[in-house]
Amino acid sequence: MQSRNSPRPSSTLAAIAAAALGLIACTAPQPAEPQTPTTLTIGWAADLLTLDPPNESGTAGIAVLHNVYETLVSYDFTAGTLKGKLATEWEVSDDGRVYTFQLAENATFANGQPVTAEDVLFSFQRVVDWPEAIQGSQIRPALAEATMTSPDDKTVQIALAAPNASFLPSLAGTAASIISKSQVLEAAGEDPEAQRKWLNENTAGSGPYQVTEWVPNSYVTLGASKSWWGGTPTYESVEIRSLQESSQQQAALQQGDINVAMDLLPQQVTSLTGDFEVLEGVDLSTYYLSLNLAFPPFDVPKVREAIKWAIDYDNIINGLLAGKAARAGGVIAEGLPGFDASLADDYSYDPEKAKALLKEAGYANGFSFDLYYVTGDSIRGLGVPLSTLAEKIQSDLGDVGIKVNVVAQDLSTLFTSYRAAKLPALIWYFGSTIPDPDQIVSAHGDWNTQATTRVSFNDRAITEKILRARVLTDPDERAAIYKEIGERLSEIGPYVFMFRPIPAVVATPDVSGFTLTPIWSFNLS
Amino acid sequence: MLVAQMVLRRVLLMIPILFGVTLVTFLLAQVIPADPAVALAGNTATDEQVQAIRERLGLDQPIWVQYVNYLERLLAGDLGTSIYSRRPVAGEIALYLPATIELATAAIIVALVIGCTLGVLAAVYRGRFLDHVGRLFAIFGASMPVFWLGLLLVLIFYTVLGWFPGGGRFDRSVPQPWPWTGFLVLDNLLQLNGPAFIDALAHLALPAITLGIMGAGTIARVTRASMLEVLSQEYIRAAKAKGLTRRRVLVVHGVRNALLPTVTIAGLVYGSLLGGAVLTESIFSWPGLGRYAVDAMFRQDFPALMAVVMVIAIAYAVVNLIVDIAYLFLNPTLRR
Repeated sequence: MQSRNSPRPSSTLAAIAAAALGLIACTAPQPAEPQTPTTLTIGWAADLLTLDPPNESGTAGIAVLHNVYETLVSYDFTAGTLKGKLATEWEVSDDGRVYTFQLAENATFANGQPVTAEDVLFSFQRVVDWPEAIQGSQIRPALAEATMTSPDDKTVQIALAAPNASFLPSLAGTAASIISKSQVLEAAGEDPEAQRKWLNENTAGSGPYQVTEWVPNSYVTLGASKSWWGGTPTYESVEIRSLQESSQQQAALQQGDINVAMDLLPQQVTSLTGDFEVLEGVDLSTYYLSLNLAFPPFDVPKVREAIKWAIDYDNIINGLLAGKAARAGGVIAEGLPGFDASLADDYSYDPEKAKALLKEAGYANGFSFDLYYVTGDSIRGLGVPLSTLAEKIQSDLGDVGIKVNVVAQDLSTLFTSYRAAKLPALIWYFGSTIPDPDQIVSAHGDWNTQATTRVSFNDRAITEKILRARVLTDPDERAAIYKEIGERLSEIGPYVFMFRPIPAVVATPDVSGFTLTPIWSFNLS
Repeated sequence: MLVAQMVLRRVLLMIPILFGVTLVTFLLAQVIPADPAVALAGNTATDEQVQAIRERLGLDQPIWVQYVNYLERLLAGDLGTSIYSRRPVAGEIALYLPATIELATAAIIVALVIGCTLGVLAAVYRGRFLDHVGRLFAIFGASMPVFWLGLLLVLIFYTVLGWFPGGGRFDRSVPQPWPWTGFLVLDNLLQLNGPAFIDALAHLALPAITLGIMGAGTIARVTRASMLEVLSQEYIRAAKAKGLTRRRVLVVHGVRNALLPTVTIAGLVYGSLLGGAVLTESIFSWPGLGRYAVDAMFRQDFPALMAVVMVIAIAYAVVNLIVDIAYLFLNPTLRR
């Protein structure tokens, strides 16, 4: 698939044709509509690691897989509800354990074969049988203990061992992509290792596009599935070009070499506004300071509260991030059940109050701590270096008498220490990879998870609520509990929530059929 | 014959060197307090998942067992599989290395042409206008941040003038050659693929000039100093006294002798270019070894890291060998 030999239409011919069309358009009286190009070219700094759905956890890979494969269900972020995709309808038994899915009658894979219950079972069984596949952890625990059957060709029944309300939303993640069993067997045979090797570099999905060529660190090309059961894809092909520098993306966009620039800095976005279309997306990741309660004085609630009042959030958002972020007061992002906008108002910049709280806590003269962050990392979608955020926090906390030593470390080293609960404080972010709050509140409040041991946080009340919400079948009741959890996490949790980035993507005006989405970056259909 | 002997001796010497390199890299990788399994497992992984990955990668075994296993596989010609991409490291190196060699070679040619010319001219016209120009250029070349120069060239020649492409190795609308060697310029030349040859050269131009100017500064300074020293030697005076033309004195007696240090420094520059020019690769989206090496380091992708370090070590050894062979030709006294 990596042969670079297929002859391509000459660009000169295309230019002549375009010029000729332009002449015709000039003679015609009607106003000229911007023509949608046949190839969409996207410049992106992110790279793919693999094309195998349960094993890809990177942003670019997830975006590609989301447009190549389809899942049983999908999520409507505007309505905040699940919607059908390959499954047109589903039923949940009263005890919340048995899920029965009806597959779309006309759904087919790119190779023309119908999507059947057997493909679903094959895809899910792969995830169960492959414990190290990173992204598979979204659905593996539930599926591993479930009984999966196919009463008929178009019906799938999954009986979970215990009720689990986040199971259905987790099926919208790319790890739960439905792969064509027959295509994989034909190409790679029965051996699972051979299948993984093949799916690492090839796709066998039912989405609007399939990967036709992939040269790592250079580009990946998606070709439209002519027979896509969901309609006709907007473009004949979509090329994602690896462009590492934001300046290079800006230049390529202005030269007309790419249609979409994914990683422009806020000031570049501003300078291009007017001539280009700016698409604003939603990122579910929350940036926060993570404080380890095992390191005094973070165990003193008033000290944590003082830090929450000492940070100049408005200045960070409007100055440092040029307004391309939203104040976040809690861990649950907008669009997910349990989101509470009012949490953003709980803490604001009040250094006097912070000093008073420190005095009450017995730290009138302040204290000092090490604040870690990832070397060379920048804020998702905005390109602003994390180091500037660290320095801003250092200066804000310095104003109330807290001395911050900023320590930069590479991700692997930092994360190893973080997991081992050896870091007193760090700048961290957490983004949901499934459209459900269970994943993110568990990682911040359920003391059974590894994530809460990193900050030595052990709150029985929050844990119990999380466990209860997980088995609730009534959506409203569930959302209400998540709201309570979110509130309590913001109040007593060892986290100082700061903001969620608002990623901005700049496109040429002729681009259509390209929309931004949380979790999966973009939709091409 | 002498050359053949030297090559053989060097190749044999490379075996203990490479062995040492693997050992040192291996030990250094152990010193870093980062667990690749943790990084690979991701944010929400449980301890059991991390342990499962550790076992799959063999990281749960004692260090010496890991090292012996690694050597065994290496001797069997297996560089291992990348922890992250799950592709064979040998294949990945084969994908990125030609791009790096191509860029480094083009850059060293640019550096040598500019550096030697300026260095010789500066020495010959010492204290005059050309000397000042050369020195200014040398300071400019050696002290300028590479990303700044790269971005400047992109801005001028891509954004404003539109003469050169802004990045990558080739234009996807031009039919590409069969990847015989992986060096695009060479492949196109061998297959007489005219348009693609020009396209490949055009893509190579800006990154090669960026890196070349950086190297040219150093080479110019060394060449100037060495040329000045040579010009003050007795044999130059003797040559002049013999009545040889100024041109013959400078080229045959001067430049030829002055080039020895230049060759050494050019070898070092070339070696460092092969080690990966990360920033330049990044600015021009050049799919080379530099970024692969940095990614491997940050991700603790051990098999990839070991392979990259070994490739760079081999590259240095080979370049040094070429430098020494060049010495033999430039300096006949060494041939005795």
